[in-house]
Amino acid sequence: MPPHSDDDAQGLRSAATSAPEPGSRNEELLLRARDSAAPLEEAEALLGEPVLPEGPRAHRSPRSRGLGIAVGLGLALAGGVLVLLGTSVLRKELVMAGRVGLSLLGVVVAYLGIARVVRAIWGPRTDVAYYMALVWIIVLVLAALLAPVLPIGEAENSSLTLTEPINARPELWSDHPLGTNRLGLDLLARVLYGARTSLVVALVATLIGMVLGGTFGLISGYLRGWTDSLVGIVTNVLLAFPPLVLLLALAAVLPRTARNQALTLSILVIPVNVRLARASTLAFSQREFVLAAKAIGAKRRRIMVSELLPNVLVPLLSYAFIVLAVLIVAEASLSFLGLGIPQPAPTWGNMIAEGRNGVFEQYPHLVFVPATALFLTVLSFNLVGERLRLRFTSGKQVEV
Amino acid sequence: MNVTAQEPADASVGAAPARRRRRRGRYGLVARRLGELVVVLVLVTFATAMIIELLPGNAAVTILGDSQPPEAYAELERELGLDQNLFVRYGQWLGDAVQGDLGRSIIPPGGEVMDRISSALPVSVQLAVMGLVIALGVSVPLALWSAWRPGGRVDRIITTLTFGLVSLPSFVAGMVLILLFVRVWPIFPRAEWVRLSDGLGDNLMHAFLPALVVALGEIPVFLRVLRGDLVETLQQDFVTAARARGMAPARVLVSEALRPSSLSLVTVAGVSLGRLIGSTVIAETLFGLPGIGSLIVSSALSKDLALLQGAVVTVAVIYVLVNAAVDLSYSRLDPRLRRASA
Amino acid sequence: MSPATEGDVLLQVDDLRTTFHTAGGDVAAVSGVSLTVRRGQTVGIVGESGSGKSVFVRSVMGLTGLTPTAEVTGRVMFDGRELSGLRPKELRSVWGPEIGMIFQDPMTSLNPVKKIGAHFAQPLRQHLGLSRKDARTRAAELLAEVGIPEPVRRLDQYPHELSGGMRQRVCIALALACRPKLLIADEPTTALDVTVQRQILDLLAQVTADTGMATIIITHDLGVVARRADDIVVMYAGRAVETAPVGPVFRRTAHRYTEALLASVPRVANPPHTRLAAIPGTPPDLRRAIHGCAFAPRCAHADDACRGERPLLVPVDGDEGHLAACVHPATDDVPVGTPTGGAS
Repeated sequence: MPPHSDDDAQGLRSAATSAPEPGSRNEELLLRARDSAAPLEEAEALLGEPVLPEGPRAHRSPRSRGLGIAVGLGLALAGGVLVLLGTSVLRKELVMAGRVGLSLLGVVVAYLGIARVVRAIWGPRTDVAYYMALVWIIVLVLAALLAPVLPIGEAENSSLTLTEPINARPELWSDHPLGTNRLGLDLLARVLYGARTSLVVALVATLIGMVLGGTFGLISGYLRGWTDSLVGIVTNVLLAFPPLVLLLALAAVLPRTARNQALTLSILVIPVNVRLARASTLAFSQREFVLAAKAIGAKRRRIMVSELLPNVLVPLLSYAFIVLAVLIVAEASLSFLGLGIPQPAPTWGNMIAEGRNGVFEQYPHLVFVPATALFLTVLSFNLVGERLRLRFTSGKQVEV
Repeated sequence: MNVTAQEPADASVGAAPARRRRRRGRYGLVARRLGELVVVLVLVTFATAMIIELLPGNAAVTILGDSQPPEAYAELERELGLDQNLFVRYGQWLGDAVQGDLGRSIIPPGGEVMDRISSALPVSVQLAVMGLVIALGVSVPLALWSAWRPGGRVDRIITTLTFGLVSLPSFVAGMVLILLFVRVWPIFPRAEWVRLSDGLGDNLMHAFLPALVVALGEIPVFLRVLRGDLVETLQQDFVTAARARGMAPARVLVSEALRPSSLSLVTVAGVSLGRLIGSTVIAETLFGLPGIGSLIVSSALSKDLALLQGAVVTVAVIYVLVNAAVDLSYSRLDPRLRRASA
Repeated sequence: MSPATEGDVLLQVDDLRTTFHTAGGDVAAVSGVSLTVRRGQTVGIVGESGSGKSVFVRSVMGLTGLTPTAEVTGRVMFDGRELSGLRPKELRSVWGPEIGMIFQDPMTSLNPVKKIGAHFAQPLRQHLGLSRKDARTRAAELLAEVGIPEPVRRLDQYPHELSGGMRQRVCIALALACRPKLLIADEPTTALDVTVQRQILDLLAQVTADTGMATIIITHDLGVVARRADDIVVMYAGRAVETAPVGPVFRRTAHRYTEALLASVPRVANPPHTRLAAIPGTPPDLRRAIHGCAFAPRCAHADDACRGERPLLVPVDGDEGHLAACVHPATDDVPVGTPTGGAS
């Protein structure tokens, strides 16, 4: 049975394939990468780190700083106006596509404006997108946690909303800031409760995946031998299914509860964690500190837990956010297809599904509201995850 | 001064016996791979059977509801083989499967599972292939443009857009596309599927949007892989040497950099193809196309177990086979490896 | 510099400075280096890794243009034309026909997925306009010129099928394809076996003699340029610290760094177990501005005068052809018996 190839030890990309013999091919690629001592960059040799190309350096005189803030605020305001025009005001006047375009343009302009303000205040090299992503995640998590005590509408029980307007469009200062659906349920509330579900399910699945995958990866990487082969077989079988299909099959047979969703999703990401952990373990086992521990007679379990585990944990954790993002999308996809948590309990996926069969064109907000929340959340997790990945791992991509 | 190379004879002397040795070695390699392949296939099909096994409670009750006469349940159980244990059932299934009999679908419209699958498969295959072609057609030029000046403006914009695309689930993108191009600006027809046999033009018109949805999911991956590889290749000495001989940038990109970098892209594309054939489910659902993905979803929703198992196994087997094929073709693509694989 | 008439100057570089603007600060890779190369002359640029010698020649050629972080100032005149201001397209017509370059590692200097013959297609057809058939014939001729046996067969081989020495010969042939006036060889032998090194250097010498081409050889190994170069420029930390014809560099070494370099070369004639004389310390961090002489921290003869202001290149013992940027050059030492140096 093909064991994991040793390219894993280099953490190379295309771990999505279960290809048994890329050892030589990927080794070639890696050697090529190492050999390319970029001739221009003797500077790199001096610095010991890549020379990062950058945009033009801004001068930071106080005057230009104030100017930056002013321009930025102006842009942000202009962007905000455009967004408002697109989403609420020009409803009758402009065709849907035009309004979507306008709103998008507004968002981009607003972002550029805010970025300029932030950079003017905190320095030209601040990673604005990253910080905004962090802010969004924190706000979302807080709002989701506090949802039961927030003064928002009814999210699930349609018998309580018999007197509410149905399919109401978003009006920021009304009772229903983000509108209602066809059962009169408040969309803001549904978004927040949906966030609770989606985030919890995805988080649990990520954790299970990391714990199980990490453990098996570490053990198989350290002990090698038949343990490694066994774990290899199981991983390869799991990887032999196209991910979505595996999800569908499992979702088909299991009762559709949040718990089962979490379990199903975790199975999806166990192989990736196994590979990551195994690759790290293989790399670290060669290092001297493990040898030293062995030399003083430390038991295998001890070595694995106290020497290897902390080091293996780092790449696992740094991929955690990206894994989370993928699982949120996966959960939403399942819900969209009708195989996730059933209505009336809201998840972002089944909320978007309410727009199927022509409902979208009539009441676009039913789709746009949850879709925007989904997009922003996934984007934020991806941004944060990408930065963590770059910081804490060797940099070569592993496909999730 | 004699400057003729006094090199030791290289491998070309004694080339014939070396070639023979290589060929024999390669056959051995292929045989070993095939063996592994069979084992994986058996395990995969068994795993699918195990998954179906997870259905809680009485499958017959779940399928027929609980208001049927007892004979109906008994008959269904016999038909599904539920009265025997997993291994026996699997053995029977396997025996039937290799002869092409995957059972019968019990939910209307019914029919032989094999027939249902074979009429659904071409749809998904076409979607997957078209999606890949579109994705490659978009990614390759963008990656080239991006990699020429890493970190430059074009690169940053493209990278940002890619990031946004990754964060956009395909069903959302699909719905927006439908909105824009089917309702508002009716370029493309909605739903239905026109078979290739019924007309190429019609078929392509119906297939384009769903293929685009499929492509949108793959573009970020292809772009990232190709751009990364290109950036590395462009730092190599031979690229600088080519530039130092006066080669124009466009030519450098295409002639020097693209081919060495394309190996990982081709690999990823090949693997994607295998993966996509089942994963076109979202596009199929959105556009109402009768592909194998929607077959899986509908059999999942209606608990049509035989059909579900057959469809899942088909997709998984295709994926494994495509992966293996991609694997085997590594060495053909990179001349350096032709030697190494010997 | 060796006496020659004015009209002979092929390449004139004045005060070239190259700075990389990086995330970690500005790296002054080259700070004010000037160079003169005459037709038919061979100049050796010597320095350890990180001295800026490779960055220097690439900046002279203009190859740094693709790195957005690089900033190059200074004037470069080649054959009467000013290279420093040229646009990329114009530069490309200079690279190849006028200036050729070979790089350090022959393993990575050739495109691994292209056959040898295909490599020649670009210079021969793009610059010289040869037809496919003529280009192939010419390529075989070029390969023969650099001493590759069975040249026609090699055209259809891939780089990995050739040995390191042969690959470097191919690179030389490629650089010479358009008969440039100047050949720049960046550490041409560093990646090769010692026996092959000599063959390649002899080949370079023969080719330059035959064609009257000027050559710049960059190396960290003084032995490489000892008998091949006419003039030598010693670089340290991005600066030129000593320039002189080859004889004086070895026999009347002035700058302390050059002296230390020479002293660190192990000699066969030394008795066994002679300690290897390494230069203590490490080259400076080019992100920080350097005050005074860059070598001062590692120099046994440094004093406050050295650390104050950056020493300028001044004639040694009144010889205008031999310049050194040293406040206390070795030539000032009271000779104690034997003269300094000892060439290979």
